[in-house]
Amino acid sequence: MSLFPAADQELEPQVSLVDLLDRLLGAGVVLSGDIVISLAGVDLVQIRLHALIASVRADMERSATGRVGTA
Amino acid sequence: MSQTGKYLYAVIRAPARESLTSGYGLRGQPLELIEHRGLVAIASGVDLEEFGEVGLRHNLEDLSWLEEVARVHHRVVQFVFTTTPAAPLRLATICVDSEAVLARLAALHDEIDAVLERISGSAEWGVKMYLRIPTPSSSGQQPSTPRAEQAARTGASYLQRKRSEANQRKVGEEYAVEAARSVHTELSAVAVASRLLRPQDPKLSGHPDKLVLNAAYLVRSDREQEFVTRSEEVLAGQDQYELVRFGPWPPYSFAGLDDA
Repeated sequence: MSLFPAADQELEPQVSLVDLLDRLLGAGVVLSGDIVISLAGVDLVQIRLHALIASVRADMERSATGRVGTA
Repeated sequence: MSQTGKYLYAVIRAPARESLTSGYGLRGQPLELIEHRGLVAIASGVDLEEFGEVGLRHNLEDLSWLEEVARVHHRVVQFVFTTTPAAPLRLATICVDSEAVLARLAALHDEIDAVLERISGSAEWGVKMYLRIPTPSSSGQQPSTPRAEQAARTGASYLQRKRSEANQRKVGEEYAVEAARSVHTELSAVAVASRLLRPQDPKLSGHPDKLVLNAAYLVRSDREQEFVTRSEEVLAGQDQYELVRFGPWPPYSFAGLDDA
């Protein structure tokens, strides 16, 4: 069985991006806060990405501090 | 070269199949397994210039970038999910390194474990129900039945058809909400859990009809057939509605830690 086709269309018929984002961004783990991604003036999804970005930042800072502290 | 971080796709229970590392994630990077106390995060390396705070802020506004990342994310999670119960992580969950992944797994161990317990043996099915909006052009060009085709050819039938269309619109909108609720109840009865999702803007979904139900159902694998059958029968004979079903998918809508 070919587990990983290079292109991503083979596994199932093309899913609509909106349906996908409804799920990939709507459900979630530890994040909160909102920014709105819009396309041509239409709110695409009201996504909780702001804190997502913040969490990446926190992670990077923690790592930087950790390195300084333990190196 | 800029710093490399870890992009996380999903968390599964140990032991993870070695074959998972034969898969590829974003930008063609091989999948990695990062294990902590019986949980395994599926990750791959990403360039933090692209996926760090600054890069993300910029890239998330780029729809084609977002689409590509979303599709790869989905593909990887599907790939993992075909072999084992998997708790998908939200799009663009990124840690600076493996240690940070371990720290996150440690901090959320019990919550993630509870999610895996809940979704084990089940998959997500999406159901969207539309109320068909008849338009003059669509009913003229695409008669849905031979009878409609015949009716379109005569004047009296034309008037009758227009009247019935107007009626259908008015009555339809009133009943659609009730019908959607009843469909949701019917389908929820076969599901472990269900969730109503946001209505979608027709400009984005590309679907001209009125979306009256956008829902996700967590269905046990041994009830899948029943769910499918019921979804096919629930609107039988009601041609004013269209029901779109997709699945089985990884349990995206049911993996939120806050539900645990």
